[in-house]
Amino acid sequence: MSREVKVVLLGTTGVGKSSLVLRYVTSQFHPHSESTIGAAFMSKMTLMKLKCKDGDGQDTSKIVKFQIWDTAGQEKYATLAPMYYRSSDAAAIVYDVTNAASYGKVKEWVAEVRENAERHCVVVVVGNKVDLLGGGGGERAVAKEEVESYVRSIGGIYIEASAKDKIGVGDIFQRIVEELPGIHDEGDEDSEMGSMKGFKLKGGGRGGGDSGCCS
Amino acid sequence: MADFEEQKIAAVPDEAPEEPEEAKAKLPDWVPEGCEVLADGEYDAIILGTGLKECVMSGLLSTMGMKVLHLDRYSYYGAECASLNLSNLYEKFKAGEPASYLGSNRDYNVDLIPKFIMASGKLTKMLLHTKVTRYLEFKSIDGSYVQQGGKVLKVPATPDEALRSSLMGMFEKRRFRNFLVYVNAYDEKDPSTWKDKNLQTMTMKQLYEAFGLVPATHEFISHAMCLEVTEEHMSLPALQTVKKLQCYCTSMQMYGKTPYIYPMYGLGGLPEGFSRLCAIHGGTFMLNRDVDEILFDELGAAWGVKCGNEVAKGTMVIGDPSYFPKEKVKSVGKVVRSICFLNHPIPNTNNAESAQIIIPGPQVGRKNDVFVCMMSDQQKVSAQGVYVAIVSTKVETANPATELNCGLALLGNILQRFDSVAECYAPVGDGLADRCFISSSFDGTSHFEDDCEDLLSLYKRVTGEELDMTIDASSVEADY
Repeated sequence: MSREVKVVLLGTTGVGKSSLVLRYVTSQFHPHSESTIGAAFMSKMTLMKLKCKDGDGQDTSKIVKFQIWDTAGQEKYATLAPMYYRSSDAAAIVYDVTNAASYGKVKEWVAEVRENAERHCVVVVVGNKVDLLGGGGGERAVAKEEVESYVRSIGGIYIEASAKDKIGVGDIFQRIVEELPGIHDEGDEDSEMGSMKGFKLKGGGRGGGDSGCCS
Repeated sequence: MADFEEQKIAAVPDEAPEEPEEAKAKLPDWVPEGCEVLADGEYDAIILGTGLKECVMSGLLSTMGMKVLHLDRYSYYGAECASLNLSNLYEKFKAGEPASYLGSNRDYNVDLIPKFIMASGKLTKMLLHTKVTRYLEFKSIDGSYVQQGGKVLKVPATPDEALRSSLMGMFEKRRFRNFLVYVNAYDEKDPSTWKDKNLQTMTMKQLYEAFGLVPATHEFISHAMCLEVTEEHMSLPALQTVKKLQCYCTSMQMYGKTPYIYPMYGLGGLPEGFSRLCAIHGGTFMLNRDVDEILFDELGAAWGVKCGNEVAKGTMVIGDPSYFPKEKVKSVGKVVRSICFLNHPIPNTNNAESAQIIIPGPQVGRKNDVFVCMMSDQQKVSAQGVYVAIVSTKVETANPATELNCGLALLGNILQRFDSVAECYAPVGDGLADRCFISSSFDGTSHFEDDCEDLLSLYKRVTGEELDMTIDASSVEADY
């Protein structure tokens, strides 16, 4: 009954992609965090509320296992491999609300997603670091209306967030789930799509361990 | 707060790797006159070409804590073993515009070098060891075939199939079964399984004969199961070939009807996966960056690379042969390949959506086997209804194009063909003195077993140690 959802993070170096995930997955925030090192992807299994009501008018929900892929620094020289985008259900394109250049890159990332990701991939644009606004030591670089209007024009979702002050982070993932095609369907997608999907390699046993005969 | 600000400032450069003004003023003293620093400047290892071997190396070295800079002259990962989309494929072969019936560019991931993975082979172990396997999904190859006496026949997958197979006569089937039972039970370390046969001294030919097997059976076992590409192994100690047969049999039992597996979206996913392993450990990748020069000191040891007027320094330079001066590599033969688009599965393969056909050299008067690999949209390498068949062999004559005819003849109608002849290179030296650690070109075999041997040798030359496949790479997993 659970559903696995692959979310890829995109955005210019230093806009706080990793901090958002860290906040969402572990409820932590590291102000000193350096460029991303060390995580292949983070996963979080959680019960998500769905948009539609059941027959009795009650809220419905579903267990979702998020696989959140971080760029691992490969965005810096635009060397993200096609594999990164493949079979992603959603792309969270992050920019820093106080940094116009980081917003300027959003359109390029949208184009990358359209080119490389599945057609049904949900696009969320995240304006991060809103804690810097209004006395936080920074100014809004692009008018909110302008961003909202652009995001609407590409059929995406716009959310403002702060990994530091814990604003809007959960909303990113809540909105992704609400927009996912087929999320209300019963059962595992695996069983439906079984023949089209591949399998994971299995470790241990005769093939994986050093007991195998091919070494 | 101050720290947070600092992070923001560090984050701003997103165009090119721009050094702050003051840093430009005091370039490190190793930077030649008139040159700039490339990326971070100083690295433990500079790796050239994003082929599979190079990406495995950068993944392993960065996991060990080395600082890695990885460059490629092309705009895509994979170098010679990339999987290309239609536009890159047509550009590579200068074939004009892709025909519209082929469908969408992004549906294609066409391998330049066709290979399958043995399910329990060395590459699989490397994927599991490094956990790169978590980025990949695989499919079993549907059918494994061998040409015998002008016919394409299925390589039996089960003892039952062996008994029904027309590859062998009735009595031969029983002898074949006895042979397999012996091989499966054989343990190098346990003399009781040897049954008075010393496979270290006995040749493969003698072993076949000891079981009363006829030459036609020798041929299909050696070529279609042990994946020997020539007849050389027949006069060598049997142990090596027997181990290959054991690998075949183990692989057979793992996932499907054949011992071969293949990554969804093409082999290019393999180097991509290892590149991600490297990036996660802090490695830097730059694509579309040709290396103009490898820089050597007065003793002839490499100390860096130059791209345009940018220079990076490294304690070693690792890469595929195409990046190094001619005198550092030697030619070891040529491989001819033809990538073909079909609108049907290969005839006589029971409509398999993916298949391998091995044509043993002796069947067609050749020394080297001819391989046919076929994939389809089932592996996400092509649009629905389009099949990609790749025929390849090691070049033996002055007219390589004709050497593939026996394989092409099996394909039926071909929509489009891309032919190539690739020179294969191997390093001249071991790299210890000149700090140039060079991989060998991919060979003409249909699997990665020998390429993994080259990789293990490269690893040993670079690190001075054997690759310990028992090291657990789980420390990189953030699975909360």
